[in-house]
Amino acid sequence: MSAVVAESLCKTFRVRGEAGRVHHEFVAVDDVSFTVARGASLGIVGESGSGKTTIARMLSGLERASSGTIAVADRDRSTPVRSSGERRRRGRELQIVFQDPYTSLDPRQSVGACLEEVLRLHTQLDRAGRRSRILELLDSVGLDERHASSLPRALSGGQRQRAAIARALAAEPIVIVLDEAVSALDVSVQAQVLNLLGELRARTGVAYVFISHNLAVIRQVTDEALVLRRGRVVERGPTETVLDAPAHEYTQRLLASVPVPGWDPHAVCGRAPAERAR
Amino acid sequence: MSALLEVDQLAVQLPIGQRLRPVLHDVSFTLARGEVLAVVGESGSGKSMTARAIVRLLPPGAASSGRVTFDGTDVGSATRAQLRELRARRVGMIFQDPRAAINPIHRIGDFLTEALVRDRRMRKAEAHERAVAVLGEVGIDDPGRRLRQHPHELSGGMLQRVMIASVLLAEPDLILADEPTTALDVTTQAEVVAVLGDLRRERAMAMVFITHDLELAAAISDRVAVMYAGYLVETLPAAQALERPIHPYTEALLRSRPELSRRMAAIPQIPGRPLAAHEATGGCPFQPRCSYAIERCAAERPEPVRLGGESVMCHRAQERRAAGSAPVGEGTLVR
Repeated sequence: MSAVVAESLCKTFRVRGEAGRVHHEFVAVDDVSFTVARGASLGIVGESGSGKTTIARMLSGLERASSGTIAVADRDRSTPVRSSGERRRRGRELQIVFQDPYTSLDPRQSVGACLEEVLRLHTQLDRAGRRSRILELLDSVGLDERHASSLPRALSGGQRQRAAIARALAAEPIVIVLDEAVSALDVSVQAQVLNLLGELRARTGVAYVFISHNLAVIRQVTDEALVLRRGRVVERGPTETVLDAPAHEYTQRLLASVPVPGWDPHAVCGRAPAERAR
Repeated sequence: MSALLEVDQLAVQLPIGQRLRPVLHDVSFTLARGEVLAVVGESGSGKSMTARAIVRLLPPGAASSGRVTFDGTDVGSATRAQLRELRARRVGMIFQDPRAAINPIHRIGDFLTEALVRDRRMRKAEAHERAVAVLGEVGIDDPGRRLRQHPHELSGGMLQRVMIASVLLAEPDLILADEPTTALDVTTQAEVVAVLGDLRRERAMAMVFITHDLELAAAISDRVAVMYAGYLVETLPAAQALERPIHPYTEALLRSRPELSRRMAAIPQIPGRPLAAHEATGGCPFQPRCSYAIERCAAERPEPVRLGGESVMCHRAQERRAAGSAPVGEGTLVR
């Protein structure tokens, strides 16, 4: 059984021209297909405007695909929900973690109350059961009881992101979509969160769709990778192959852009002079 | 040649809550003309505050001590007029988010020529010509059209180049660049870094380049300064920064990066969390997280020691250097 199957996903936005008259269509995602097996981790690599966040939003139901289908746990979710039960089930099966937990956590809700709400909605646990599950969840992301009563603003960036991951785990989802989830973290905190994500996947069998522009991070947490450019998949394969032997010119350029000793930034610009000042 | 910039025992306190709390502790370094110093550290380590203190752009209520000397002039005792001149002509500043620094309702052309026309009494046509030339220099095609556009019509990378162009128009001796490429895509980052590198070679401009990315820092600078909890813990030649750092924090920071070339079973973590500058107590600020710490580290704060071209704030600097210091796993070095 697959965690996620996306087939021929397309998303077109209508862009209003000057004077609100002339419309043109902007294709944000163009015929993207992928499958994520249970417990697997798929990396989606791309720069701004590549369509990676639009894909995350379609997966989580925040955006409807213009065409194509999405199935999670073999159940189609291309059509709008018909019942609150169906909406709850979709929420339980797929959770999302954003780049900046400060804007996705409720600033007036303590971490414990936030987890409590998810557990009440998605599980049959009684009060005592929820209480012990909250402690278990906090522990699994390296937070403790004291953090349960903290508001998001009282936590550091890394702690907030861990709280967001605990919230995602609370529903026991089949897949978690992580949209640039470690990009805003300091290097030492990022290391902690990446290790945590690896452990959690090994322990719980949750699958990841991991969206990032950082190739080293993609190497660390994914098995397969897609490289997106302007809404289209330009390269795909096992993460190792994509990063060790990139076939597409764009993937090669992304790799050449990563600063390493002896790095020459001119080589990156020189390779595609036509695009230099785009 | 005498240094362009000398920072000596610079300390800054900010009002946090009811009290003044330190955010920068006794930071000292020098910068020669045409030299690039990269300042590396995690958030809250004091990188930006160091840059702001150089031009005395501190938040209201801040207190500072120590001495900043720019081209022979004491910045601390400069008059308002001298400061204005310093910021407008001698030191250019580039920030992370160009959209926050460029007025969105003015055209790019007005933004670029305003200072030339107003402060330097240049004629409009001449200022326009200069702006066209400098946009070409930073790699922007069709500069004439760009000058008529508004900021929202330009991409982030393009706007950052406009920002760099505006700094170049002032022909400063020093550029303070605070995470100038952090908000940009990697390929755009490479382009902006290439532009900065060219300009530095052609015009011999000195630069303080602030970044959280050690590898980027090593790739673009002559020397790397590493900050932790408001202290400058290590300054070393860029060529050594990735291979033989002496300070345990620099080493730990390098190790905790995921690698491009291989997947690690687990990334070596630095235990604990980064300390805020005001939390640092009597000993070495990194001691609670340091795997090389000895008794003395908790009791006594190390003074920076000079070792060849390096300056290291660590009690064990001598012995770590003698032992060939820390070869950081091969994978970190070679791709």
